[in-house]
Amino acid sequence: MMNDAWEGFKKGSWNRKIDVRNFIQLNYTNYDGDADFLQGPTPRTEKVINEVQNLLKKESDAGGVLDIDVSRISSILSWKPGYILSKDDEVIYGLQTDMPLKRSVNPFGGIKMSVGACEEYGYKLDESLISAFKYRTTHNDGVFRVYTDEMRKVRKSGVITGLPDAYGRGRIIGDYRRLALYGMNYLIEQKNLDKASLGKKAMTENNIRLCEELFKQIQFMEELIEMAAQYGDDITRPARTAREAIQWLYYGYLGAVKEQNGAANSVGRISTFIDIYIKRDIDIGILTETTAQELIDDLVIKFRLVRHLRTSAYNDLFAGDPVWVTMSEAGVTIDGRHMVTKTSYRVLQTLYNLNPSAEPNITILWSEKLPEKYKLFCAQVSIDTDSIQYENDDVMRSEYGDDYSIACCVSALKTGKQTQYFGARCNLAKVLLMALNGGRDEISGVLVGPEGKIFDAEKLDYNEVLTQYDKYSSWLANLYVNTLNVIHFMHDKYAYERLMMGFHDTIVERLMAFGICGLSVLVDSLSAIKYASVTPVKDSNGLIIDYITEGEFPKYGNDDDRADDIARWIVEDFYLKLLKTKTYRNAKHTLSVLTITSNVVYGKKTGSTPDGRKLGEPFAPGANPMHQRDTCGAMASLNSVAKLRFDCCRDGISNTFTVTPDVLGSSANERADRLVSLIDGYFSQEAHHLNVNVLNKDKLIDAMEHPENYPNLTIRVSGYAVNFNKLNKKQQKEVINRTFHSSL
Amino acid sequence: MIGFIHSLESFATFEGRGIRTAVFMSGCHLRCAFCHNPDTWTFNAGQEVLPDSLAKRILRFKPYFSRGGGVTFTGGEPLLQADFILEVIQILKASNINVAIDSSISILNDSVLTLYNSLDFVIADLKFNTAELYKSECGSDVFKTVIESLEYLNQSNIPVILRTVIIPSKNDTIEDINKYFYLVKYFKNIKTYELKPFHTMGFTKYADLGIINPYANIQDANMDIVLMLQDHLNNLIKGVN
Repeated sequence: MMNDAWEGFKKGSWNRKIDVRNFIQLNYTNYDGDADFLQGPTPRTEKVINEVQNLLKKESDAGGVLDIDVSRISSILSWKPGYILSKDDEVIYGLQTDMPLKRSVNPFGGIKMSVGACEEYGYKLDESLISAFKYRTTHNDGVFRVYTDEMRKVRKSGVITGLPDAYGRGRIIGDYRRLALYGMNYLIEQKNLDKASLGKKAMTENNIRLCEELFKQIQFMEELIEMAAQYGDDITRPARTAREAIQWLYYGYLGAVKEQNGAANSVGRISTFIDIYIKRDIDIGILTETTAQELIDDLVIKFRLVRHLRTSAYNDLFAGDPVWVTMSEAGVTIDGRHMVTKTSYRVLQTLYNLNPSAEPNITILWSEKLPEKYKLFCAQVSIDTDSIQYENDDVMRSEYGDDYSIACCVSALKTGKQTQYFGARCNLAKVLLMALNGGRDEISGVLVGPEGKIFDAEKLDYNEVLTQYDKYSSWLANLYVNTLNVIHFMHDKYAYERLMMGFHDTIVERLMAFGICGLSVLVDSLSAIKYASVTPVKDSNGLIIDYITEGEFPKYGNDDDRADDIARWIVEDFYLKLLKTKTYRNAKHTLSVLTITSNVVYGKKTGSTPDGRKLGEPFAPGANPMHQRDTCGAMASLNSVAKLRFDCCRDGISNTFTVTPDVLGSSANERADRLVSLIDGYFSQEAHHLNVNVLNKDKLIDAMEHPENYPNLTIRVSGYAVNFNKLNKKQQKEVINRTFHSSL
Repeated sequence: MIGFIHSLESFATFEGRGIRTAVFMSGCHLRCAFCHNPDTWTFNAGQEVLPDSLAKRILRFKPYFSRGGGVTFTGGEPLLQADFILEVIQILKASNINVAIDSSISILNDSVLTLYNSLDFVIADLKFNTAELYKSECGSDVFKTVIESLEYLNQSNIPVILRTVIIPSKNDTIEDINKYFYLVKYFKNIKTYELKPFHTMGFTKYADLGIINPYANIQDANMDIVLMLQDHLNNLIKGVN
């Protein structure tokens, strides 16, 4: 295959087959310089961003949703082209519907959710749509046809919640770069060849399913050609310029988010790829730094407008209306070259040109090998905007190579080659309470798990507690895997991600991503039982509803091995237990310690715990130490979390970290420099993820009282960022209650 | 040997690059009227610790010490426990940790000289520019020792970050700064000379400890004046260089 779109590019295996990684490795130019070359917004960009700010204000004034189109179902071709102002004012085209921020209805996950979400915002879904879905099985219908009584019970009690059984699972990243590099005709041609060769194999259940999936992929890939044509672009051929490369890539993403409303729709690792096109255009004189920045700015504006229609129950788990347009930046190649390009800088510059923002979820793949100037610039951006996060490329690279992307918050996936079955998380703190109560829910008293004896000793004995915890966590691990198997079977069957999967290899590796929450509560509870004296308190029915804890005990977050070893053990132990149950489609088991914002909801559903936390109080987010219990300073807190092993948490270990500006130093240079030391120090211990906030508590308290003064206040919560004003009061309070590391 | 430490702050804010862990040593022989850490004056305020266990705690923070970080012994007066600190440093130096002290440099003996020679740099307070003021404001006439210490550090080529706290009505005039400058102008080892504003944040500690606060009537130093004096000092230093 040869064509003029590739003129000037170094040839390699990417010319003979789909191999975007090879194209990048052969053609990218890394950049060691500083940020001085960056340009501000053009008048056009300013005009558009002003309109976007107006729209965001209107959306907020309208209670969070500006408009819903209740008359049609979201798909690639449901709407004619939409623009923010007009086509002439835009350089990168494409909206989900015909108007910016107008939300679409996507009932394939479950029609009831769509009806409910419309009603919550004062809209009514058209009867014709509801009746059409009477005769169609949704993913949600399918799951509940198969769910066992036990599965329903654990779901209801909140031992396992947030499961993607009533909404799109998300966390699948199409390799949208393929569209830019090869054009759709070639991609479809390859899929047809795959389908023909699969047709020669024995028609087993697996093969039949895959053949049907390929049919669906191709169908939607063809529809995307039509969508792009409506905007005036011919994506059947490869992109010839930087604008086309960005546009093609964005069309791929846009089609995917029109078709799917998955929880997280991340865009992948695109900036190094885009940089190759930008550099070529600048070199031949058809693009300048200003117009290059304008392209990136316009792409990012589009990402900031992506919306899905959600219910309030969903918003409790995933607060702030996130879509996780996660962009993965920088990183290092497997042969040791850093992948920072000028476009890595241009992406960060959008936070200055377009104001700080939660989306896209800019994720820096950090390595000790990243150039010094880029590290300092990232730190500066963190200090100025609290909008970006860091993940340790040095630990992920050995597992995922150098062309992986982050899905959602912290999940690595080899781009276009791996896909994830998202599994929300189970509440291990509640499992402990259940073990002590012989399988009963500590709040309702309902028997949820296998019936056992309620602990009746005066004082809890550590070894006896561990024996019971082992029994109930084993039971739960097995049930958890089986529940996810049901969910993902049905999701593949009734809500298959047709276009996204079209941008993957036909044969993909699947990861099933389990999760745990309540880690720090469980660690401190077990530590209290081991090192202090814990007496259960029972209600009149004999159910343990509280604990009296006397004496000192080591707490997770203080670099104290007595507590931290318990944390390591909990995670490793649970991972090994999950491995014992076979997964649907032979997915590889992975585990995360990540809560998103569900730490508040999980806390609400969990009774008092032996660590002294009371019924209903929020958990700490992700793998964080419990609020205010990490009293030995910032580095001791980080050191504790760094002890959790990535090799049994390959779906990520989330740590959200807040320091006050003062503790970092008195000048801007000092602050950036110290933040780099902190990130380097944390990651050098093979830690995985760090959300960084540099702010004062007073600012958040003031923002709670005067939100109008902080329209763009962005903070990192747990693997993503939110606009502070979009959190509910309870969530805001929980964030304010977290540990702010400050100096003496 | 046993050391007496008041507290350890893993992530302390000091001027310059890098993250530094601060070890606050207990005990001080001075009673400076403007001291903001009177809670570290006595040895029994705090904990007893052995050199290897203190070194072990500090070494846990080594990953954060790249880019100019390390440990700074402050206090209290670290020189009062020079032998103990030396033992800790011997362990830390095996792991290449950068070590400094933050001191009044008002003690000179063999242990202190050995300690100076094992440090990467010294943060030194030049509190006053006359023996009389040292006596009246710090409760001890150590002016001569301070100057001799600066001379020794200069001869030994040990880098010094010099500091003076500017206290309203005590040392906040151009003439005062001229005198300070005159005292140190020939020392080649002084990397920076910083003027710091007196602040009243430590006042609550006096109340908590039930100690009479001799500066209770003195206000926070005016930042504009401190910056003006720093400018003046910088110009004097430039003139020399």
